[in-house]
Amino acid sequence: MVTEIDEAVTVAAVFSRGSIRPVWFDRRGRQVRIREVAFTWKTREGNIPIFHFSVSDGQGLFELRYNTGSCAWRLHAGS
Amino acid sequence: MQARSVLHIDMNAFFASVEQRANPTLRNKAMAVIGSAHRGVILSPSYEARAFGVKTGMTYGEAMRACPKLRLVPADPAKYSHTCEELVEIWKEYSPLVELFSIDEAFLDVTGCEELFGDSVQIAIRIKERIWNEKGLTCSIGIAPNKLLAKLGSDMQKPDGLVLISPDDIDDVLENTAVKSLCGIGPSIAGALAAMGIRSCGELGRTPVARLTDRFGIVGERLRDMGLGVDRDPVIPLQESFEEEAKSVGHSMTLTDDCSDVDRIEQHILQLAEKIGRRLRRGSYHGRTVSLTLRYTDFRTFSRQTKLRHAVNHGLDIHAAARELLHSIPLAGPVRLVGVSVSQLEKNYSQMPLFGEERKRRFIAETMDTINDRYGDFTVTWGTLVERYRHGRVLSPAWRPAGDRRY
Repeated sequence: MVTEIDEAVTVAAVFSRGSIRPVWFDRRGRQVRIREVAFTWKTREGNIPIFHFSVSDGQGLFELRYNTGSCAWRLHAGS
Repeated sequence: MQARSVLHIDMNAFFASVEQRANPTLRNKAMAVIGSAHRGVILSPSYEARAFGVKTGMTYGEAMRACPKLRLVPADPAKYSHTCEELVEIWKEYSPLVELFSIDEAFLDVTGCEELFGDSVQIAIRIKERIWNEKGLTCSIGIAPNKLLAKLGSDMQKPDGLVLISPDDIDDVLENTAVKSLCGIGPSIAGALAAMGIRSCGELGRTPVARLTDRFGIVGERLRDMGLGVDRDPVIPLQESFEEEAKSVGHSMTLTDDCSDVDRIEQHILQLAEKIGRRLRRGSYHGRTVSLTLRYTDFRTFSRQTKLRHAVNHGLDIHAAARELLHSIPLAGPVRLVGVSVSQLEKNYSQMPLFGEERKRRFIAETMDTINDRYGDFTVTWGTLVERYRHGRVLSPAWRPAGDRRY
């Protein structure tokens, strides 16, 4: 069951050739290593692109969001 | 003259397949995308769910009875529209003539592209590989000399199909194909044809035109062509469809709970009117006719419209007209869906505001648009809408990846 979390998180990501690949994120002091980036998609808040990443650590599924306006990551949902 | 080569690409169980990509735990499972978490119908069952008899349009109860282990996932239109935009970018690499038929279907006219990418079958294989490798999705492709037959071809092999109907095969393919398999022949026309003893395309193609026009009027000639596999419609490139002028702009919302409170319905109408006003202004449209649609819990649908003296594009004007329609009828029961639309549109309609109040109102609307364009819809809005109904985004069948229909 995926539930909404919506909290700011620290994310390590590789920005390369126009693509973004999150590698791990820090959640409540625990480093969650991303095993699979299952899907990515883009939305907008006004004219600011937001990148969405459906990621898995092998146990749970999470949705990370990267706001290109504020350069901030949020953990939007998790299971 | 070289025969045309048209591809029809149909993404297999599109919404469900996207959700299965996005959530690995859903892969190879019976699951279905639904309209909302609370109510609605099955929008897209996975192929695993279809094996249990789950179909698009079923209620949740019907679907769960057919497949008790079915997993239901609320629709996330942002994922689907973004994926569609990415697919369009792939398709455009193989032909400039790409017509988006719906969010998960497209026609490509690849006539003349053979020098670059190989024949139409090779192009179709390349496209299927790209979609699988880059998006993890499958599609069925029909290849034929026209759109009608290409669409028929893609329907013949699902999922992950590839069907070529070459000019020499057309008669054989159509001879025993049911007329209802052709895109454009719905249940009512198929029923009328059956009453005339016409069930297959072969029979339709051999029927004298006069007999068909006697029964169907001018459509008769078109039906006879369809029976023969003739379709002269061009593939309309995306850019042209973006530039097509809109005929109406509307929005509707299915409510989480049934509503009999007129004040709340008015608030929903204002929210819809604001969205419509924004879209009209964005496309430089004004509209003269405002329509209100209410759907009751028993699915009876009421629709009424009013024609205004002046064309409008301000949310408050649209709201006032729709509100008047609401008050002109007694509510027949709790409401589950509210819809507002504006039609009789005029592009670049210009009427200088004569009075100070009108000028102020236009200035405020423009300023609100600028702020909301920058920070997102409803960042600045009317006080009544601060506690507005937050429903998920819904993709209209007319959605396109750019132009006025994007919003």
